[in-house]
Amino acid sequence: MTAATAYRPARPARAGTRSARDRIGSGFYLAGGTLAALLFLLPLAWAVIRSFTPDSLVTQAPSARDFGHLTTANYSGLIQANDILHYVLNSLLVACGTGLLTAVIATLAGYGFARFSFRGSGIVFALVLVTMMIPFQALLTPLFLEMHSLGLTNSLLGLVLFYTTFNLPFGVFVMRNSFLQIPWELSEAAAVDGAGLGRTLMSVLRPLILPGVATTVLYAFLFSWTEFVGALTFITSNSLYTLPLALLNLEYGSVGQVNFGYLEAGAVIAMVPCVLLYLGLQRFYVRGLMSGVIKG
Amino acid sequence: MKLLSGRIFTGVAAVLLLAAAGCSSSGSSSPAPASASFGVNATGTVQFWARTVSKTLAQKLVTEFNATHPNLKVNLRLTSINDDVTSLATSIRAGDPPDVVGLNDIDMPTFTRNGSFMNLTSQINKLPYKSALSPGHIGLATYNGQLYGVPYWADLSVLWYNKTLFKQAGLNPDDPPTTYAQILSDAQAINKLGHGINGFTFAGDCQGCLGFTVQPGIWADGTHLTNGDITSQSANIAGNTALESALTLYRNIWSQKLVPDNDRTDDGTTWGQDFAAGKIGIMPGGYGQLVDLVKPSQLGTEFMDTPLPGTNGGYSTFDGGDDFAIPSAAKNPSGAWEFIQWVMQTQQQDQYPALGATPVRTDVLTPSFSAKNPEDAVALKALAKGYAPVTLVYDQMFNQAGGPWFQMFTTAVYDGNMSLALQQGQSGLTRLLQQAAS
Amino acid sequence: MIGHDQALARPAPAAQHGPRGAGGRRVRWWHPRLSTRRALTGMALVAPTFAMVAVFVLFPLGFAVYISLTNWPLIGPYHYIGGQNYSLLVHDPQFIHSVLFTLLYTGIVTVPIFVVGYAMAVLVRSNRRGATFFRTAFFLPFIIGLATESFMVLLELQPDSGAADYVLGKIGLAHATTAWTVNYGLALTAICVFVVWFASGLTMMLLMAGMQGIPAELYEAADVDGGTWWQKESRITLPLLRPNIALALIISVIGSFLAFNQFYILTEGGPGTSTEPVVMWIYEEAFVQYHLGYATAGAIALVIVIAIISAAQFYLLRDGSKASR
Repeated sequence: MTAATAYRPARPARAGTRSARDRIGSGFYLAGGTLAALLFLLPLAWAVIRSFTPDSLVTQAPSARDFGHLTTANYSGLIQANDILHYVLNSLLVACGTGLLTAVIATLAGYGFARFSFRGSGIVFALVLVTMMIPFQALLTPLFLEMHSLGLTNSLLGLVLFYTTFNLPFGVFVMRNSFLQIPWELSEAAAVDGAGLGRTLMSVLRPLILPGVATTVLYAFLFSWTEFVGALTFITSNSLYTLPLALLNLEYGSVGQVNFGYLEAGAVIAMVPCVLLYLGLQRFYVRGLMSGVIKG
Repeated sequence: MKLLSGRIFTGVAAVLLLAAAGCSSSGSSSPAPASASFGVNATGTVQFWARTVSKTLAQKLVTEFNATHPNLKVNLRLTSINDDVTSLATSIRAGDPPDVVGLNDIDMPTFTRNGSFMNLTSQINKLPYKSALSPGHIGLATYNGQLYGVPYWADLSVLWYNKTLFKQAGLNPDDPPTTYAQILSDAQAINKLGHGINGFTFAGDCQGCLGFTVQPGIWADGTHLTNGDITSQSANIAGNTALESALTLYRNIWSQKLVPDNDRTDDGTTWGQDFAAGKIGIMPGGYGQLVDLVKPSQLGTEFMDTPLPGTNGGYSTFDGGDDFAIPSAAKNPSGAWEFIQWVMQTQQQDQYPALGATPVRTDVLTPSFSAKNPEDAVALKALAKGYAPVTLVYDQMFNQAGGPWFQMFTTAVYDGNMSLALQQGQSGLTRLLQQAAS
Repeated sequence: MIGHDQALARPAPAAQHGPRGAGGRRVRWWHPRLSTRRALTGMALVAPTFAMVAVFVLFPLGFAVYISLTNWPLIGPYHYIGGQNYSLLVHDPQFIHSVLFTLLYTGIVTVPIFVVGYAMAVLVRSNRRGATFFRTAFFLPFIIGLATESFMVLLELQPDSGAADYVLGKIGLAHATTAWTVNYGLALTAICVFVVWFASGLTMMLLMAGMQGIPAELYEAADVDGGTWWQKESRITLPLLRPNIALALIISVIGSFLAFNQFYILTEGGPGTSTEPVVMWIYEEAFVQYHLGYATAGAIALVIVIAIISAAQFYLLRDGSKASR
């Protein structure tokens, strides 16, 4: 058994001949899966419909009449009157920055923890994980004072650094798992070929760790995209607000009423980049693992 | 590993020292701005933090001020809901507060008593309209006889009613209720219209909203829920007949099903929307609240307001809204005071109604003002009789779901157990006041 | 120490293929010069992470520990008071209640999130037609975020105007005017269902990534031997999936312990304070009561509890080093 055939995406054992049983199985799969998927999507689909309903109707009992009153007023309100795309841009900058920075740093660290032994690695790993366990709210004041003295408050860069740090535990955990799943032979083979650290990571191991990297980027992006409390604390000028902050301010009226029309529309707008990113990263999961990378 | 951590910890220690220096306690009282040039022809920039709920007003004021003052620029930052106090407090600790802040007036006591704000008494005494300033706002900005802020805008509670529904129910649309009994009977009449129409509405799961709209009736009856000033307060709930009367009114309204069912779970997020949709006869609410919800053409024609009455007459209002304050560590206090004075001028105050706010000077209530803004005139008239509780425990008492106010309301109105409710309210508030005093 | 690191670094034995490196190869790793260089490389790889964590987490955490030993108010002067906050904490009925409630909530949702996530991962791990669509559908709730969805759910839980009562009323399971958010049992039920819907997608993604790393011929060999689906699952998938399962469970449990948004938005901890989780208690103490020192003490206590539970999970789910080679 050579390494070349070691990994293949799990597929039905017999390719090419699909028996009736297979087809029925396929049918059940599609039917059952579709039902489950629809169940999951239904609340969101309903929210999208709500986003096209004027705010005054949104809080009335749902009825067929609602469909007759669909309007894009919520969206035009958000985009034109409230410049929502400016905040979308801010959020994009922060989320992309966080995703990339987290991926790079976490990959390096995951590799280090998985493949190298050095004194204190257990402790450092534990300290990194502690980050996951801390409730934000407890650190807000000390963190604000610290970041203020470092000049990192009210800056998107500061936010990126903050978000990256809090996504590192997850990223490191995932990347470490990724590296652990790769057999020794591959990196050893590369070392035998004389590959340095960089080349080992980038060319040899890259296809194997891409699913992990994709997961890390996606999680970090989503985290930064939807994060609210940190942005609220550290950003002190309106023009740098991220999307969740901007939406929150738009949605609340003077006595605490919520404009649910804006909220649903804002959610749909916020959804779009995330779904796009997710679909874009899909292929790193679907492709499964490399075959034929190791020759001989 | 050792080398790296060594360097890190040195850097860390340095930051720690810096931060400790920056956030050490400062209990000294702030210097009183006494010079004659204070607030006159100031230059530079002014950092102004306003609450998002006053967004329309703040943006308009800042734009106009900047257009008419070439040497002084105001930079506006809108603080997010529920975050106003925290961000202000943290910025003061970090030594980097704004020059002027528009703070929710009921939050003023938290800051006035520890030197966070500048003492403006001498400046305020020079104002010709000093006696016309909203008493509720001024009261909240006072500590130990000194003034640490001035009113910025007023967010007042009134009794809104639907004139169209009044007519349909055979009631006189120009004769709104002035007693609890009338509120009840008018609501009953409108409720009989059926077809999804209800006589009354309130945000039944929103403790802050209820505090805003139920208390004025108690004050109109001449009593408050606390006795004494901020330094030594006690609860005035047990045996408070005005409170009992108010709770009884709501109990009757609820048990007679004069409100929509989903009022019970309205935590404020959908407050007033059913009224704005024309389905409710009477709604205690804010002036600005309805301006946000309906078209200007509907004000005065379909919807009209009247002051919140007491049990048998009289009226009052909740002096909500914001106060202006200048943090002690402000970098441009003179510029801040110039801006504040400009905002309090009649010309600016006259613009308030259209922007969903009520002016803070009773002398702005001229016949022409009443003619142009009849709904806001109602609120402004009530301002003189308005009040806002001056206490350190306002949030804990009134705005928390688990607080004594809401517990009392729930027990009295939904469970119908008045004596238990008053008992809970008295002991709960007493406990909070004791904790705050310690 | 060295042996321990080796165990950390070694992948699960069953995933390896081909002849294990003989003793000769291993000896080479222990060459002193090589091992120091490797150690330094390892440290360098990990340094950026450690630096960021030290600056943005460990330092503020230390500062927070200091705050917890004072009576730090939100605004105004503060004094050192030693462990007073902690002794008050242990006797605070509100704090204890919030801890118990959080434990209850975690206990209720952890297993369903895992089981549903696992089932979905099984469903979508292959590359059959439709798998991509299903994957996206199941993950979408997670993508949108808990806070936004909490508001959406808030709207739908309103009696009379919300979709929940409308649908359940039509099916006949509930009154059209059930008030979900003001009743302890109903609110908890609704929130738990909501959270399972939200979080199972993440579990699915984490497990799926691991499942796809399992080589096909392991399954094929089992097929040849005539294994049932369950046998294949329990003997091949589950053991090899250990690290991923560990990650998914630990994240899920920590997430439940730190739950805040959904409760804040849907019930505000009500009725009364019956649905107030620990983080909400911390929030209230810090930003409403302005007792920052006391709240921070509660937060530190929470961190310790989570650390202990996570360590226990780690231990129980660690890669077994019993060889199957």
